[in-house]
Amino acid sequence: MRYSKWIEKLEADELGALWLSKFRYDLSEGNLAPAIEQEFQELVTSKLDSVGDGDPPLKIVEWVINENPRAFDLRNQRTPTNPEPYSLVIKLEVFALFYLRRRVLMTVLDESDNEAEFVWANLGGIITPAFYDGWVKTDREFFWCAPTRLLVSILAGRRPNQGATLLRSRLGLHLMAKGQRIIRIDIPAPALEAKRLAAPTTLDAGTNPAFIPCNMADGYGRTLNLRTISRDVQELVVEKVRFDGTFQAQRVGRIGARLPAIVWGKLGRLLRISRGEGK
Amino acid sequence: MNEIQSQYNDRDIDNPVAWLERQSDSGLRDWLRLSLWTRNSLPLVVPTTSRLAIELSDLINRGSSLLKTRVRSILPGLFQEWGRNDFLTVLDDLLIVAAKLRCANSEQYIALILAERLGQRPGSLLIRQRALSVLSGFGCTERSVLIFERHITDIEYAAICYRALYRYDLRYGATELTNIIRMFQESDSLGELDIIIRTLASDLEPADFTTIITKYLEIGEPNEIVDIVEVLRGVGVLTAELLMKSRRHQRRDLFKTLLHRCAASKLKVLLWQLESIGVGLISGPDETNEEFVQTLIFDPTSGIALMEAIIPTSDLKADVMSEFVSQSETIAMGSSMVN
Repeated sequence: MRYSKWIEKLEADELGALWLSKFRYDLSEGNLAPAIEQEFQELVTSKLDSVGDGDPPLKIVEWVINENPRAFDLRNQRTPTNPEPYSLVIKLEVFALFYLRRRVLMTVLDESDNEAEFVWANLGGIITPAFYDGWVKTDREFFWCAPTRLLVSILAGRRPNQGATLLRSRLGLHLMAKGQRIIRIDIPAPALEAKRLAAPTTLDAGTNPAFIPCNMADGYGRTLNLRTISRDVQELVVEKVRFDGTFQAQRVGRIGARLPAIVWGKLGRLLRISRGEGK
Repeated sequence: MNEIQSQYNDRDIDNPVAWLERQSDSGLRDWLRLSLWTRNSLPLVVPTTSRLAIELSDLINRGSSLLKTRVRSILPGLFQEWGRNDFLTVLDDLLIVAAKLRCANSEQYIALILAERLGQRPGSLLIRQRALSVLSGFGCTERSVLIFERHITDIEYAAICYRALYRYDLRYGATELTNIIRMFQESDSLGELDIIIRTLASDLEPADFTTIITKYLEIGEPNEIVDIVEVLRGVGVLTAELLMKSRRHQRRDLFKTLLHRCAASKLKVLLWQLESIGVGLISGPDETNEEFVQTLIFDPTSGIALMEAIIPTSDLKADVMSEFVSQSETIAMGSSMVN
């Protein structure tokens, strides 16, 4: 009873309803095992018991997903049929703060960007792979990536800033603002040995609206192209890996344009017309 | 959860700053705490290419001055709340947010965590490095100087502490340089030493950098003088350009110290090193070169030792000697005319 009321509230909220339709898509298309819905319901109910009904319904979604990584992370039953080299892109600041040896780099942290500037200017120069040290991950224990060949083809023949701007649109990075500098990391194949790889699900995406689930037979997900609001580049989620000198990191460029406002409602329509395709 | 926090809508997810600005102090505090401790940060959505600490700091920095001030007043309390049983990632994020918002009133709490609460649990080394770099960002003070002095002897923290200390008092730049160089050379971490020296050079005005190098040479081992010159030359921070930007008396002091302190057996190497950066006996006469020669003339002990070092083996003996004599005469003539 409590769960169904909560679902009603979620459906009454535009982004909540969008999240729910994506979650249902993952369940109906077999991306997620049916048992996950039951588990999700129980955990939401339990959370509602402890925090009450005052919180926005999407907040409960975020809460339950973050508190239960074993239940909800990397649970897509589709996995890439032909694994290949993969790459990811991250913000310069993330690279500078979380991917480099801290004992001589980023030695003064303050409100300025001076230290990140130093990293940007010297990556590939005096900042050699010997300085690479950290974990490839998000705030959760996995990361998002795409086949290297696709990133290479998007960037081919383009100036750095053009390439960065195009990557933002094609990879669905709607929260990257104009002026943001991005770093590309290429993952060596041995780093992925025995690691869990899967197409992303709505549970992996959390409350990020710029995600669209899919049911492609190749075992990959697809990014959301922010310009066309359609599925675009193959993507997957991977269990966190140790970042070291065997990886390659390089500057992509600086995003050179603002992004037009996105009408999230278009995603709902895309979900409805795509249900069942790709099988 | 606080009721005020509950009142966000879809528009707030597109623009969380406006929502933050509307929060009461307790609502803001609850949201910060919930975001940092549990990563439930709605209406802030953290993209997959970023991390919570960065997005949260950027978000608050995009807000009004009042919002930043309010958050700055909340953060010390969150540092106090962080305990031994909390995740280190929470503390790491707190540190980054405090640094990015320049929340210097957190200094004493960070110092307390370093001294008493961090301990030696796995992962604490990285957090200690982060904490020291945040304290360094606030600026070393009379209170924090002891923390940096305590940690500078450990290679894992030495570079962070060295930078904090010389930015606080230039004298540390010279007095600690020997230890820094030795520490990183002995651990075969020359790439890192390279970055430390470059950072030192770029942090300081040329005149200050020249002074630090001179002071360092004054206390350095005679046999190590050419080694330090090699480090400075190798990373491109000891250049004719740098010397030209320094004041005349500073250049003189540097040359004089080099010649006085360098072991006689290493003078030939020193001469070659100076030659390679455009400051030597054979290179074309410019102001810096002239001063170097002039220093030799007015410092006969070093001049003679230098000549002795060159003469036994050098094929360039005749060239060097004639160049030295001719430049000496020119400079001496110039000096007598001035006098």
